[in-house]
Amino acid sequence: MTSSLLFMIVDDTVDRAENLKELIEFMDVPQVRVALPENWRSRIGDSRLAAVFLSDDLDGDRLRRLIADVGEHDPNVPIVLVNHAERHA
Amino acid sequence: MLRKEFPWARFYTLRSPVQFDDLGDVLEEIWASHSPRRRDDGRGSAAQSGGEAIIGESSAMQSVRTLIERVAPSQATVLITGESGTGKEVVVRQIHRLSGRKGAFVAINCGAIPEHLLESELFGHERGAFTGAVNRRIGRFELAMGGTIFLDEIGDMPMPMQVKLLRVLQERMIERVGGTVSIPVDVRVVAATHRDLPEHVANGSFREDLYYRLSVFPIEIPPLRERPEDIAPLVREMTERVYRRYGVELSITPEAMSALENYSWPGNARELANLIERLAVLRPDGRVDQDTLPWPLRPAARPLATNEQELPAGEALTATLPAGGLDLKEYLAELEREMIRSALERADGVVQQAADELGVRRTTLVEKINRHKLRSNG
Repeated sequence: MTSSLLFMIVDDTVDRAENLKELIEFMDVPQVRVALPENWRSRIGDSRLAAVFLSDDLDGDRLRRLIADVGEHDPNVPIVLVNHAERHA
Repeated sequence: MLRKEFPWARFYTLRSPVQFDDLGDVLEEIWASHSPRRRDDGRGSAAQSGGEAIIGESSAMQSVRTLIERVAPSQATVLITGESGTGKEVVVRQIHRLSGRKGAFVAINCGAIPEHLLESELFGHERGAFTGAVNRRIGRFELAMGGTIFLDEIGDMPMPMQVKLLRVLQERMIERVGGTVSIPVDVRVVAATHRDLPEHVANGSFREDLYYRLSVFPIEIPPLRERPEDIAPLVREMTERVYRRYGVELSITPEAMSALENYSWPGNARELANLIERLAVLRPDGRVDQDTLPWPLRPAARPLATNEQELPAGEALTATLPAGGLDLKEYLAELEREMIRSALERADGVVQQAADELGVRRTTLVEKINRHKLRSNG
C-alpha cells in the first residue's frame, strides 16, 4: 500500500494546533496530525511528510532543534512557520 | 535569521490568526513543490490538467499526439509550451511512457523551489557542503538516471542556474554541491513553460544558448478556447473519472454543454476538471443544466452588473481608469464585497448557494463574509 502524504502541526499549545488542523482540513487536505515537540517523529507512522507547521513562539533553542530534526528526517520537507509574534508583542 | 542558519530548509510563513487565503496560497505552493508522483499519492489527479491520456479530437491535438509519438523514442530534448492548465505534464508523461526508458520519471518545478535550494535539488549535495547538510543527498538528475527529468516552469529558473543547467546539457555530467567528482548522467530532459521564452531571451532574462539547447524539439499545446471541439471529449473523460471517484454519474444537458463550449476557459483543461469535480460533489443527483453552472458560464452572465447599471448579456467587461488613478487593492476589495453582497441577496442569505454562485468554497465565502463584515442568514 502506498503511504500517503501527511501534514504535521507541531506545537505545545494543543488547542491552537487543533484550530489550525481544522483550517487545513477545510482546505481538503486529507491527512493532518497534531503533535507535541517531544513526540512529533513518532506520530509520522507510515506516512510521508508533506510539510511541518511550527509555531515561531517556541523558545529559540527548541525551535532550532525542531528545524534541525526535520532536516535530519528529510531536508526536502517544507517548514511552515506560524508567526504568533503580534500576540506576544 | 532562520533562513541563514538553515539554508537547506524550505521555509514558508503564516501570520496568526491564519487567514484562509494565506493558508491556501501556502498549501498550493507546497503541493506544487512536491513531485507529481507525491502529489498523486496525496490528492489524486482529477484536478490536474485533464487526465493521463491526451484527450482531444481537434487537429491541433492530433498534431500534438503525432509529435509525441515521433519524438518519444529519440533522445532529443523537448520543450513544451502552453498556457497554465493545458496539460503540459500529461504530454511529458506520455513522452516518458513511449520512450522505452527504464529509469524513473522525476519532475521538479523550477519556479517553486527557492533559488538557493535549486542547485542542491537538481544536482544533490555532499555531507557538510553547507550548514545543515548533515547527510549526502542525491539530486533529481541522479534520481532520473536512465529515465526522464521534467523541468517544469523552466522560464522561472534563475539566471545563475541557467548557466549550470546549460553546462549539464552540453557535457551530460553533473557535480553535487560541495562535491569534486563529475558524475555522468544518462537522463532525457523535457522542459515546459507557460512563458514566452523568445520574449524572455529578447529582454535578457533567459539565456539564448540554453533556449536553443532546450528547444531541439518544441511542442506547443494550444489553449482550450482555440479548440472548443475538444471540450465534449474532455468532459466525457472527466465525468467518467468522477464517477469512479465519487460514484456520481453526471448528466449534462445539451444547453449546459453548449455553455461549456462557449466559455473561454482561462484556466484551460485544469479549470474544466476542477469544475466537473465540483459539480460531482455539489450535485449528488448528477443533473447539470445551465442553472447549475457557476455564474461566469451562464450565457446571461453579466460582468460587473449592479442594480443601477446592468450590462447587456454577453457584453465584454470594460473599465476606465479614472484620470487621477485609483487604489487598485481598495477598488478590487470593494468589487468583491459588492459581488458577495449581490450573491447573498440572490441566494436569500444561504451561504452555500451564494458560494455556488460565486464559484468558491463555502468556507472561503464565510471567511470573506467575516472579512468584509457582511452578515447573512445562512
